[in-house]
Amino acid sequence: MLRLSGITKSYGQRRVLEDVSLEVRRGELLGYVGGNGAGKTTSMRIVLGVTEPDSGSVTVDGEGVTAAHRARMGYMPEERGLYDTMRLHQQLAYFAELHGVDRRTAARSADYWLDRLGLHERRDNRLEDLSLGNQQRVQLAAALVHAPDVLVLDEPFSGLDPLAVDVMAEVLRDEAGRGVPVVFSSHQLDLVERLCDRVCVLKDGRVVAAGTVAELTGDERQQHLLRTTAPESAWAYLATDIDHRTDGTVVTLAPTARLDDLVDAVRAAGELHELRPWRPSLTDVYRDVAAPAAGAATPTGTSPTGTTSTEKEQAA
Amino acid sequence: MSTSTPTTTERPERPERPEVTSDPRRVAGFGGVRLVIRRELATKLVTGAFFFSTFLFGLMAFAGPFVTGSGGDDDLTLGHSAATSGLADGVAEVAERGEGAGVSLREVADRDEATALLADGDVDAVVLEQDGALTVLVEDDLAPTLGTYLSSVAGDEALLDAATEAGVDPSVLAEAAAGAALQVEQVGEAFPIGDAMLGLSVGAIGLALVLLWGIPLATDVMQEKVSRVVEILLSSVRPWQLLAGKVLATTVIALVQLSVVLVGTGLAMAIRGSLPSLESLNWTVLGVGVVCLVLSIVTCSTLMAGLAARVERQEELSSVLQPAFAVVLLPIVAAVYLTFSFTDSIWFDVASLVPFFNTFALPARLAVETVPVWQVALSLAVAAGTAVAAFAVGGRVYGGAVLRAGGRVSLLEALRSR
Repeated sequence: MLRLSGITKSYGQRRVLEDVSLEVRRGELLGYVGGNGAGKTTSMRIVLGVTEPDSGSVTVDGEGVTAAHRARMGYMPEERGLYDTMRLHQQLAYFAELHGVDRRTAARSADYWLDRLGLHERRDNRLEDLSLGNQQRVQLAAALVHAPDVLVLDEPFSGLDPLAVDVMAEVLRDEAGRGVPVVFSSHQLDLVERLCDRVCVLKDGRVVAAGTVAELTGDERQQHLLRTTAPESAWAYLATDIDHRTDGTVVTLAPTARLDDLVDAVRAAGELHELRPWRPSLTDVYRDVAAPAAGAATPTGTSPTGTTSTEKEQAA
Repeated sequence: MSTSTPTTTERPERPERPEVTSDPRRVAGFGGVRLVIRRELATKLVTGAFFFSTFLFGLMAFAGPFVTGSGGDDDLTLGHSAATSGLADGVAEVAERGEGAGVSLREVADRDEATALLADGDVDAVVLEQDGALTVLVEDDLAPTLGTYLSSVAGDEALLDAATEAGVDPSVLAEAAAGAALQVEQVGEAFPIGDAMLGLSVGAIGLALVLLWGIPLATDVMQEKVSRVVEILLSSVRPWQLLAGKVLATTVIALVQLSVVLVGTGLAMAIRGSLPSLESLNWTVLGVGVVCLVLSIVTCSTLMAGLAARVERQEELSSVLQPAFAVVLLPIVAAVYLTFSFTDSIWFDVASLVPFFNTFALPARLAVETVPVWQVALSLAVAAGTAVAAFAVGGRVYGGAVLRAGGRVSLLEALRSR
């Protein structure tokens, strides 16, 4: 299990991370989302030991991260970083060796990943001869070539075409499937929603929401999308929250109210066009918690470490 | 960012995923440095570009002694006719007695042949008798040494002829001339210009190598920063390992190229028969010079690599490298100045001991005067200490700046950053 506890980091007078805590369990895919400058890259660099925190700790399976742990981590930086003029196989084998893999195994593993990602025919090409999409595959291979125990990927899906996204997603699921904690940042929230077991939202260096997708999007809340000609006054007493959207009205039923009560009330006052279960998308949740005016927004989900939390609790 | 699907050919079976285990001890300490060195050498030394440029340098070095005509073949050639053979013999005899260049003789049939030989550069001058007078033909200018010899011998012959005609015994004249021979006594120390040049050449070579390979190293560091590959590298090795690997590999590459150039020059000198004998070489200067050369390359390259990590744009590179240029340019200028103008001054002694200056001044000082062994040892220790200090400071700047994107990182900020 990868755990960040109370990580704080400043560059000069600028506070980049403020008491960031999160947890990625073995075999779990964690989506790490946040706006530009929220602190995602810095916290990932801290996990990899590339940057040191001012305070807080990073542990793997309860142990403080050492060089031995870092050798077993795979990292894909946000801004792609490889040697343009190095040949693919030579480059991947080099990165494997840098993580302590012996020379022969490094070469075999480089071959495996080139083959797995469909680049085996380009093994002796220079990186600069590849398209940007293929360069990104090589970047992923560089993060995986030493069979890491922890995988940290900064914007791995950025700029990929749909097929390449599928390949990347499959690889990440496979890695999680063999028990690797996988954390990746992305601005493609639909992808995060579809792929991840849990999501952590970072804003201005603080964790403002964390939990499973269901927890964050409020699956347990009795919300329905209603389209009707009946006036709101006829059924509003059954709802604790009413949200008007372009495609209808989202009704959050009161704990004591039943769906049948709502149907009866609406039909008594007008025509019922549509009534179906509804939950917000991760994008909706993200807008709520990460928008500039979201300071007072209702926080959603559980704490980074799995327990129920609120944004105020996080800030405190 | 545009993307594309990879060019692939479906294979019937995917190879089995290899069992991969890693041992961090392989990249701990010098293990990581060794890996970085291996990559640097594989991508910079074992390349067609390096072979080609080194071959060209070697070729130029080989051709140098032939083109410049330098070496042991400094003798002058004097052409003469049958009528002036006596005069020419006299010139050759005088030249042989002296310490300067010798004079070899070549007889010509007539003025036309003399002109042709002068045009081809086969003779430096031809002395003929035309209309009862001595005439010296030259292509451009008469070599001063040859002019002195010719004037002296021609004057002696004229005096001898006149004295003989006046009834004086030639042997009396010869005895009188012998008694008037000058005794030259040296009261100062001879300035060993050859050794001095050898000592200074260490600094000059160091300067050339730093400029030739230090700047590409700095550019490489900057490009690694810009491409962010350094993030991946630093997730598995420490900044000092990366820096040390790059600097040591650069030093090896520079020395390999220097060796090729020296071999080329040596080969050419051997062919021309002007290779200095092993006994004539100042081995102390050479030995200390090689150590100083390596230390100055390591020191300057380290500083250049560290400073280069502060910037992300090529146009900013030269300005941040100024301090590194200063620690190689100022000492070489000072070493030349002190060697020739302040050989006996205390400043020469001081320069051969203080950081940065000593690797340039010490070989030159060793070449021109006796240096106490303790001073040589102290100077080398200071040079090694300077390299270590440069590595500590350069590594600190490198580690503090190489991950900082968004414009130039100030030196203070880089030193403070963790």
